[in-house]
Amino acid sequence: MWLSDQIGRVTTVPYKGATEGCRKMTAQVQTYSSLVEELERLRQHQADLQQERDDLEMMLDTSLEHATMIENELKTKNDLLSNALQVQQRTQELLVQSRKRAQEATRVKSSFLANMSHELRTPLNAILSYTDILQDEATDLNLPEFVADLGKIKQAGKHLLGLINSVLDLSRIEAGKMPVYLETFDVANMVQDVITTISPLVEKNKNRLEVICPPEIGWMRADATKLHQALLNLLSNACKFTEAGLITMEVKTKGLTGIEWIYFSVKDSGIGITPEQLENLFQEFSQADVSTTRKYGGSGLGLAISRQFCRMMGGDISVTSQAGVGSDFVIELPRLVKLEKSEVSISED
Amino acid sequence: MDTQIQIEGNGYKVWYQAEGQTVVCQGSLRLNSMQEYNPISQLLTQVLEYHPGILTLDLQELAFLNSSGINVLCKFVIAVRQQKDVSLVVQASNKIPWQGKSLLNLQKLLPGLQLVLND
Repeated sequence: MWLSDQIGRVTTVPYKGATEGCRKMTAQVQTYSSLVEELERLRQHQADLQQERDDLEMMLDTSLEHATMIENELKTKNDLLSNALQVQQRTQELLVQSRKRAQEATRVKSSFLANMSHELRTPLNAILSYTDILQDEATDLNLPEFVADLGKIKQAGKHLLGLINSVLDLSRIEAGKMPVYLETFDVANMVQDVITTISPLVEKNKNRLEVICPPEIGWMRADATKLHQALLNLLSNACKFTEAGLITMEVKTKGLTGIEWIYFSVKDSGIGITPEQLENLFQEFSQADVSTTRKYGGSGLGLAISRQFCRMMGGDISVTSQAGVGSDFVIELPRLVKLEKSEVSISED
Repeated sequence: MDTQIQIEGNGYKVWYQAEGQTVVCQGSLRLNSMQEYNPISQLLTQVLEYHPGILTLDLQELAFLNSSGINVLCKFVIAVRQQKDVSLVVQASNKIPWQGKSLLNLQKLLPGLQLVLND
């Protein structure tokens, strides 16, 4: 019993010491393990941070390079723009110079035409007056051959006077010196005057004229002389380019956007106009084509002047036509023409 | 997937077309800050959530992109790299000078990025 106690004491004491050592060792191992894990975590974190830093550096580089490149592109574009602006400025200067020259040239041309027209009209009026006197004398002396010949001189002279007047009109329009005289007149009466004037020309080519102008159209306020001239021009064109056909003149009204408009339509069943010819129809000195001038005469000024007259009164002339079928010219004017104060003189009737 | 998301602003348009899994950027992107680019960043992030496999970024008609814009693209490329299951193809145009130069830098952030420069 004693012995076994002694053995137990001897063996128990070192055993207890070993257990304590083991515990300590286990704790140390666990601590070490945790440290290793922590170290690994820190390493990973460091690697992540390094990656983030690399990324940020790369982004910064990319961004800086991009900015530099854009700046260079912008500079190049600015240079181009600057050059273009210089070119534009130079062009603008040239344009201003050209415009001045053109205006001066137009002024000189208009002045020349006005003077020349005057110079031409003076002797022509003398020729026409003396022709009248001679015609009267020839009639008194009973010399019918002379009367007929003098009639031809008179006719040609009047034609020439008409052309000179057209050139003068055009030059005055171009120079902005064509006055508009507004007056109030009865539309149907004015149309009747035009019809009376044009009647001989209607009969000349064996045409028939139909007029639709209801008296209730009433009055209008415009430049009666200019409208008269424009209508005569349209009607004489219709007579000239139609043979044994029908010419219709129709007047009607229409209210548009608070303004009442009067439409004067001159329709014929004549030779018509091709789309190509329509393009230059209202150009000065331009007829449908050269052969037209040879065959039908005229200066090619009538339509250009008529359109200018209508535009001066706030209206216009339009045309629809088909070659070989006929043409329809329409003058549109406000019933009450109003002018800008600075534009032209206005007579009070 | 028939998703069609789109952002349209002054002079630019960005949209995702599910067919072809392509994000298209058109016009000129000159927004003033990263904050203003937020809707576009969100569109790109949303597209990544679809796990498209191969994603194409079509920039051929993007005439201008400012520095904030290139940062948005850089961040997107990093997000693609982190996602690991998406391959990115960038379609660019030789006719737009900045594309050839700046987009090459994206490959440094994502070496697997395929940059296709078209005439």
